[in-house]
Amino acid sequence: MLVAALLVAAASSAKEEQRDPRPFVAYGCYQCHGYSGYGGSSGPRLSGDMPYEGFERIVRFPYGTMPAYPRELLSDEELRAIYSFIQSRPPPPLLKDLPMLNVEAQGTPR
Amino acid sequence: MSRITRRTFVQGAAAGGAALGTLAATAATAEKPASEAPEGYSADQREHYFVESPGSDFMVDVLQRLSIDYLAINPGSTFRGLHESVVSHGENARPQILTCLHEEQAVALAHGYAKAAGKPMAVACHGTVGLQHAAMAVYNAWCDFVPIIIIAGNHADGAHRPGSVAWAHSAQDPVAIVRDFTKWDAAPVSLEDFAESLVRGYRIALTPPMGPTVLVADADLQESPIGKQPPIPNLTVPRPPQGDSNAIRETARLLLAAQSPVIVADRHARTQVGVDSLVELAEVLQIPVIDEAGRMNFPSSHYLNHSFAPGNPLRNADLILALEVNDVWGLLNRIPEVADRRAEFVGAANVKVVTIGTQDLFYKSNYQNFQRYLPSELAIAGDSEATLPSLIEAVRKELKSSHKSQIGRRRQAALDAFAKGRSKALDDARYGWDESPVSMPRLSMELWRQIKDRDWSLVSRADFQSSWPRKLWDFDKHYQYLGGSGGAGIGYGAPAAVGAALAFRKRGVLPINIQSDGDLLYGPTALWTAAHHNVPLLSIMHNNGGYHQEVMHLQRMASRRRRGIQSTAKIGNTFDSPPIDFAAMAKSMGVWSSGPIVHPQELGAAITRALEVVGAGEPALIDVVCQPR
Repeated sequence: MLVAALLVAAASSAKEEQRDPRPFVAYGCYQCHGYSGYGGSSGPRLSGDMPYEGFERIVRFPYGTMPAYPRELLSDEELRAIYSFIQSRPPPPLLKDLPMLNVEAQGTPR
Repeated sequence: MSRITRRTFVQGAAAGGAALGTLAATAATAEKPASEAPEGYSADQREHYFVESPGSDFMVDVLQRLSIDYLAINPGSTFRGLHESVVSHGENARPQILTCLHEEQAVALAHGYAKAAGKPMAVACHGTVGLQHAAMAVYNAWCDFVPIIIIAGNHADGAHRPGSVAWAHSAQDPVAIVRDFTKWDAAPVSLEDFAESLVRGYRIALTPPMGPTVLVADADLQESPIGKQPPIPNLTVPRPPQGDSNAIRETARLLLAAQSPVIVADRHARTQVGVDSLVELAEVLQIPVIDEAGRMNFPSSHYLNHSFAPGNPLRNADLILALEVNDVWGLLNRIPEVADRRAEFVGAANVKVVTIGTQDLFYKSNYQNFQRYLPSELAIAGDSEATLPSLIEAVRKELKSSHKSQIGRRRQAALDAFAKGRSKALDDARYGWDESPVSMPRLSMELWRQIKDRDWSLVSRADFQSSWPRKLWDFDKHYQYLGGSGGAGIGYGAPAAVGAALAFRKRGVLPINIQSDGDLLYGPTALWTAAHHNVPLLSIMHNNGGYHQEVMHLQRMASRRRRGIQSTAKIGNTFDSPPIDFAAMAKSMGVWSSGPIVHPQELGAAITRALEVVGAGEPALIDVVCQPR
């Protein structure tokens, strides 16, 4: 419940209009791909650049360990809502703007 | 009761012990005169009411002789004699009692301690019930090849059991419940046998492949007078076995002949020597290393560390050298999580596998943690850390100038692959950086920026955090990562972190515990143990509100069966409604706490404050609402 509230709050406060994340969460996409589809140990980061046809192909006929989601489980309309959310996410900050990552991560490679 | 005073029989036994090559006297027994008879009691009354020099005092002497620093317990009457002897005879100094609020926590605490300290502690379990409570944690230690000395109280003699509960807490063979996943056990019927068995059990536990051993301490033996002081045998721990010298030479030739060799290390490094020798071997031949992270085996910033390099280096390997690898079959095969579950071979057609490890030296049959069988070119039964120096020597001896151009090419390829892997990790880490719930890369880096200049150790497993600390932090010391639970039995994390932190306390190493919420809920009172014993430990909650692995499993089942995917996967798998207040839970047990933190911008200040608490010698916990993994 707390997470859902956080996600909706984040979506409504984003500078660019971000679509409703709730279908992404309700249909379980977040489980492997994270609440915003940025990836986790079980699922890769989801790209917003992929054409819908390619996205749908992967969801209906996935490879690897991802479960298949036929239309009877996830309608075209619902899938398009999920796709819209993925596309609407704001871009991540640039590496140069994140000193914690571009300066402090790891030591000097040996 | 014998009229011989403790001082006289200790002296006599010491003389006899020296002749037998054993040691009998201890500082504790030698310096304390026997107490006089209490005033006003006849000899019969004295024998009726009192016991001098109980057998459990001698048991403490044996524990002291083995330099066992701690005895982790949840108390119970089957070892009340031993308990009192540790407190009084041993003055609660060595071993010192560690108060645990569940036997599973006591064993898991000993598990984490052993990996951090490089030596075992003892755990006392109360009869049938205590050992049953402990069993899960014993299984984890068994799977993780970790030595623990378990002492199980029991009332062997039915005629002496004081009441019905004592009958329920006793067994003919109390160790039966854990025998399938312990290395050795004994039920001595005399103190002399107890001493020999404890020393033997310690020796067996420490001999690779290491593992827990169990000794039954009979209640009568604990509570009856010592009588004639038995000797305590000297301890000699066998040196870890090295691999066969001919097989080592053959391995060197195979490594030199290979075009694309890869080294995989899992529970390889026990000490820094293990890390350094692996670096040396990898550098001599410019072989990429995949660290499976059963222990910290290879520096994370070394360009030959390809644990997170793009692609799977094993797919193209023509030779894999597997060092103490738990699942060798899984290096080259996989069973996809799809309905038909067909095994797929994912290696090169010409790949050869050489294994070096001690797992081949000791098997049991019931529990299946020995993993699936993989035929190999060469299987060397030996301790890999002890064997690598010989292998390096053999490689150097066989190395010719004709090998150098190929080795040089591998170096450049390795540098490129490492750089790509690091670049990808940094790029990936940006996504979700400012989001709420907090991302794992953000949590990892907020921690790293504040600990990187200290002497630290990540005492929790990192795979629940998608291994982000291992991708972003600079691990180069063997104690900076201790691996996981072994048996993947939940409930290990919190108490094992406390045990590791206890081991690090004297050394001034800062222990960091990224604590899974589901794991903590199995035994949150491990936090109380940390507070009670002033164990400095920084715990950061990975609060994702459920058993996330199981959420994914249920989703998979539902989609495979074509039904019910909308939010149903959370049923039975989550505990976020109502949300659990982990900070309040920690506070209730005397642990400084903060949170729940939902915005990453708030995390840095909370870590700073928590580190001040830990620096003052106390545990601290920060609750962070996080992404699932």
